Amino acid sequence: MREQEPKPLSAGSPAGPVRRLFRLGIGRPRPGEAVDWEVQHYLDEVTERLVEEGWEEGEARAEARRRFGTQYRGRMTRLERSRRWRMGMGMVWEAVASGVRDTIRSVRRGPGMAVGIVLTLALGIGANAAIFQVVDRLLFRPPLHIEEPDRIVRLVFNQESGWSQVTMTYPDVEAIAQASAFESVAKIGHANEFILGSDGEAAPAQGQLASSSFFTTLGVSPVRGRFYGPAEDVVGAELTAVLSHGFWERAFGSDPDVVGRTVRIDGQPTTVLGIAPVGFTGAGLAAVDLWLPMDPWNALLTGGEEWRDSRGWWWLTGVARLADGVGEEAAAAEATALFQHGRAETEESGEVDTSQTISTASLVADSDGGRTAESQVALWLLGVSLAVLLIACANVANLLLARGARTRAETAIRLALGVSRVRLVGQVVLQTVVLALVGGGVAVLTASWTRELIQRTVLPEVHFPDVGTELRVMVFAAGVSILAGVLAGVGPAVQGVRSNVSEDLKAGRRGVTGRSRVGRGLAVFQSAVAVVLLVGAGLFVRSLVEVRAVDMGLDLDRLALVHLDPSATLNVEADMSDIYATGLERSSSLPGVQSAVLTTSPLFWSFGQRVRVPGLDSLPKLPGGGPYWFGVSSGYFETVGLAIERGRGFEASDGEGGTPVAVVSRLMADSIWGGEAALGQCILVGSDDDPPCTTVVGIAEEASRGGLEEEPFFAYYLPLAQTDASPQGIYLRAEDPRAVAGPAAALLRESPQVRWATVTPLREAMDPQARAWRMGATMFSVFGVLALVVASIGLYSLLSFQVAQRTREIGIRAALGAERGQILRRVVLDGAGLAGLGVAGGLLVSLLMSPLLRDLLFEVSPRDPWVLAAVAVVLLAVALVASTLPGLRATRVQPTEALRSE
Amino acid sequence: MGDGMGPLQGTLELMVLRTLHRGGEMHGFGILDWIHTRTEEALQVEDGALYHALHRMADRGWLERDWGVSEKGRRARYYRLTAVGRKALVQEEARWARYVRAMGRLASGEAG
Repeated sequence: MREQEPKPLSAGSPAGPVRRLFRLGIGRPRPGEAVDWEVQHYLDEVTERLVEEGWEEGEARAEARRRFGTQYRGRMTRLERSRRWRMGMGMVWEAVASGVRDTIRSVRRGPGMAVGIVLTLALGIGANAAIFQVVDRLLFRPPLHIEEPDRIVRLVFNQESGWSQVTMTYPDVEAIAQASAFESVAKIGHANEFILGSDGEAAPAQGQLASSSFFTTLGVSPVRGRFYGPAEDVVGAELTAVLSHGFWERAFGSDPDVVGRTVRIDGQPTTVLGIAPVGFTGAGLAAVDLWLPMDPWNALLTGGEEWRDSRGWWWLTGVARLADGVGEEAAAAEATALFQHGRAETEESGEVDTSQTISTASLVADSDGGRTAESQVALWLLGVSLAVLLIACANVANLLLARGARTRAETAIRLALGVSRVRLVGQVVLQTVVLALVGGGVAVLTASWTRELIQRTVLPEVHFPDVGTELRVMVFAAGVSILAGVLAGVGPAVQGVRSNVSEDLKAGRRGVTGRSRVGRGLAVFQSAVAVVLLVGAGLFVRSLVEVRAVDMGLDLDRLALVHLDPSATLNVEADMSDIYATGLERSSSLPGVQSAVLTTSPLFWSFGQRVRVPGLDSLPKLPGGGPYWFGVSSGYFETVGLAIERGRGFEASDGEGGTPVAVVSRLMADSIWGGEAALGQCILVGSDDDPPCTTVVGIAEEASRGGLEEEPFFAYYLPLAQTDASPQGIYLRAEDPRAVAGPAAALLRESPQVRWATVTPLREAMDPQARAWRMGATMFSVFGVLALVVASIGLYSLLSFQVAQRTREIGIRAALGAERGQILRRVVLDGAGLAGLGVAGGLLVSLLMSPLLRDLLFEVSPRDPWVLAAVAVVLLAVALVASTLPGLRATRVQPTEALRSE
Repeated sequence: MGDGMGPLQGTLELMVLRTLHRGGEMHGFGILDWIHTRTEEALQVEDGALYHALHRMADRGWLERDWGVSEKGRRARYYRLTAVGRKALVQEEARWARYVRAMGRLASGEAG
């Protein structure tokens, strides 16, 4: 190659002076610039020649441009740009490849540690990826299968007062649907339980009434059959239904012949028209099993068509597709005008009420500002999973520090050979990132599984379509992996090269105590994170305890509630009272059931009825509303566990022909008659002008209506037989309500008259209200304990390491007469000191975060001293145990051995 | 014109290779000037095409290039052959020779 080096051209060669005088000391120009410079050179040279030939300067320049041609500049720039890019990618690739090679080499040297790092990070990244999927679906994405979701808006009704709601009336949405700003508008009802009874077997299904425009507005297509159209969505049309994909699989075993078949829904023969695509949940996220054409089904369910014109009946939501190129503001303005106009027409005055407006909101949960309980939960989960990731990173950093300490001499040699520190740091970080990416891969492979686990335990209402792990989850996991790798790797890497070369070489295999500073910091940090999570766990557990301890009046742990579904029995010519009578008879006979009673107002149901007291103009108004009345069968108070504080409960003799009697709640008796004096008093029940006197015969203890936090209210009880009302539920008293629930439901369903029954232990019925706290308690406890374990292992390994490092020093101390107790105390106090710092930091963070937690807790202060104290004690105790083991090892150091080992 | 020039493009590249083989390190205008002079202006392409060819060849690794200042004091980009470029020169010359022989036979009616 040498001989090919530039040779000077022969003198007088026509090329003229082409030799380079000197190299240009410039940085690399940008691709476009480089081409410009080169072309400029050409133009200058040619222009100069032409001017010498007698051309005028401007013309010469134009001629030069013409000679160069117009098409080359762009081509050359593109070529240059693509070359630069390829070179850049080449360098990146080279770096990655060398990182991977380094990693493989170090994995070969110590596979155990690599596996440890990968699994630790997989755990942290997995938790984040899984929770990201949940948060992503809840907060950032529209529901699946919607075509151009950006153009879909929810209609929101607003009042001047600032109140807004998505629930609207049928005629209002109809009026708004005339807007030219909307391509189409769908009317969607709330999902309700329907009974799917096919061939004698009945099963519940979540059904949603939706107009035929629902499918076209969202732009979804069926996977089988077809969706219902306008012809099926008229009152009187034959009943039809569309099945969700999940329900089709679950209830029909994916039988393709179900399309076109007639099934019974709420007892009505209904033709199944088609199957929606996998994961389609309409405009919301809750799972729906059936979509039913709104008009015919609503006429059937309400027994009329009052809903069609009623502007007082708010029961459906409107979802619209914006016409092409129409903005949300313009659409909202037009919708408001139509809404107000429509309302004005039905007003007698004909006046337009401008205080009510319509606005639009995106289907993506977060953008309407109204955060659902689920999304709040999800955000907290994100925080918890981040803490888990931090712990995982800290743990990996610990492992790397330990390795860094072992390979210290090697690092020193490389530094001495002139390898730059930056490069060494980069290598360690890159290796950690590569391992983290492997961990991320493991996390992604298990992400659907973890997500399902989290979702089942935490967010059972939200439907997550089973569409596999999406690309964005992988991208997120990759991002988190890189972040985690850098986070975990950078500290130990910097620590590793921050050393004095000659000293380290001298220290040789003994290593030095350089690991300690970062290691000690990590131990403190891990303890602090563990404290924060454990405080969270403690607060949520205490909330859960408080929730369970709420005195509902009823014996929640001894009762099961039976519902006999009226809609399932539409096709049976029978009275609800008769059905319930049969139900009561059957369930009383079941072994394990101690007693059974009927009620018109089971938990979560309460009814008001006018009641007057002779001599009083009106009853006091209580914040909880009411008075609420309960029609109950005899033996009610004994069965549900409500104490009769004065007087008596109901007996079999309080029948239809007997003297009208009532039992009132303590609060009612106290407020109206001053307590015991209530007995024998008269109350007038009902809205008749002159109802007969009902005599108060007993005063019962307060009972909840089903809520955890209730405002006070009056309640009074009447014998069921003395009222016209039909019962709505049966309470079964049993030692173990869970055990009788299944058999009771089976027994009841056997009866041809009852057919459909649900039996729920009351504790379970209360469950959804306690879910937020149970979820918090579960997540924080699991991760808190995990953090505690990790932190104690970290502390243990740090102290062990230090003891090993100081063998010589300890030996000397022992030789100088230090007692074993003193040596032990030194090590243990050191560990306790680190843990103490962590506890202090963790408690501080917990206190700072307490305002955020306040609303999430149930009757527990976020600064609950017992919880804080308990966590501090637990952590310090664990830290003491973790420090005692290395401490004991230190006491076994033999002075002679320690000195000889040098 | 341009990319689809077929044999003509090959010819242009061969000329550049030969020029640089003789001249060592030259800037674009120098190469152009040399070729124009040697071919007595027979090359019927726009001057930009030659620059484009230089870039293509640099991209292919036949040429390496560097910035410098010409003897006239102008900023210029200098090109020289790489080892790959020299191999290419040998191949291109052989191909050119075959081409010329074939054309010669065709022209003199000896083909068949």
